[in-house]
Amino acid sequence: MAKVLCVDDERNVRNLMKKVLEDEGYEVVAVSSGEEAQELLNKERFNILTLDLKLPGISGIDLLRKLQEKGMEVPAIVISAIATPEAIVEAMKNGAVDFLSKPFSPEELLEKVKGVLEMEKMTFNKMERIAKSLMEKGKYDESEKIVRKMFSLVPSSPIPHYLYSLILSSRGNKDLALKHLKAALTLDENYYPAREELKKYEEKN
Amino acid sequence: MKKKTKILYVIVVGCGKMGSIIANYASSEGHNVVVIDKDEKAFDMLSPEFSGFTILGDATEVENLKAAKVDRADVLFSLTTDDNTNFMISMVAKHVFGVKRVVSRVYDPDNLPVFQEFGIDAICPILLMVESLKGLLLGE
Repeated sequence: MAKVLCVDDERNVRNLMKKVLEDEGYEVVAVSSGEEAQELLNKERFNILTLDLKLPGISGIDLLRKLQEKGMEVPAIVISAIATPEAIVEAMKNGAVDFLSKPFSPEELLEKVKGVLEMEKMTFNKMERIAKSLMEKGKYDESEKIVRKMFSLVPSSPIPHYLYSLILSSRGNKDLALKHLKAALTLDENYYPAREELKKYEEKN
Repeated sequence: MKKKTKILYVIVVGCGKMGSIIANYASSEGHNVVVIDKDEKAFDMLSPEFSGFTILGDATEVENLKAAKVDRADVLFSLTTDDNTNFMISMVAKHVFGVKRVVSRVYDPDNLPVFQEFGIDAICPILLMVESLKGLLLGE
């Protein structure tokens, strides 16, 4: 299940986020400052970040900026009592993917979180298509960039491993290609494209 | 298994002893709770497990009621220590924002008819106490 990092300086809001999201089966880590969030994000991977704008220490917007600079691609939902169009635009400009105004109901929160995770999945599927079409055109370097992003988006998926193995094998790096194929099958032994590809390898040898 | 009641959107104005106790209870029962008080320290009365929202501000100002999304509220409890304040907040909640159920605390029993006249559920702690004492005298 998806892992959520909640950043809010109000204990009652952290309580609420934990209660609502954990009841739905999400894994939730809640912290009270941007600094703590930054530290955690350096160590662990989260599928989604919910962020209060007004925080002691570094503000929500500053945290978003820092994450963008570092190229961390955790999708963020900004949650704030200040829901002016200016505040929303500012948050979106700095990489937030959605906005939720306080006070919110549990349903609203769940809807936003589900929506963002769904969107991420769509992005992932779209990336897969683009990576494949780039490979068909022989643009392996560009395809590799996308596959790398896919790795960071869903590390537990066999798809990026499979795609990466195709790229490697096009470059003649058969050993490493084979390793990635096997990694793909370790993650999902029924992943059909990887099984087919592996068969080809075995037939050749 | 816990009885499933409808989840309500509850606004509590005034986070004193009464306000905080009812807010804590409503939150522990799983309702959506927003507490408004103009004194930030008042929120210290909320329990560590409280999982609702707090809004710092004067609820007689419409902006603060709007910030609490009062138009969505199922219930509003006006529990400040001043009858006039409670009356004003209750009136705005009920007749401007159309909150279905508005309940106000009334200190002075003489004020009770005014609240009732305008369709606000009012509870007067003094009268409740008097009723209990009467019962005692009647040997109940």
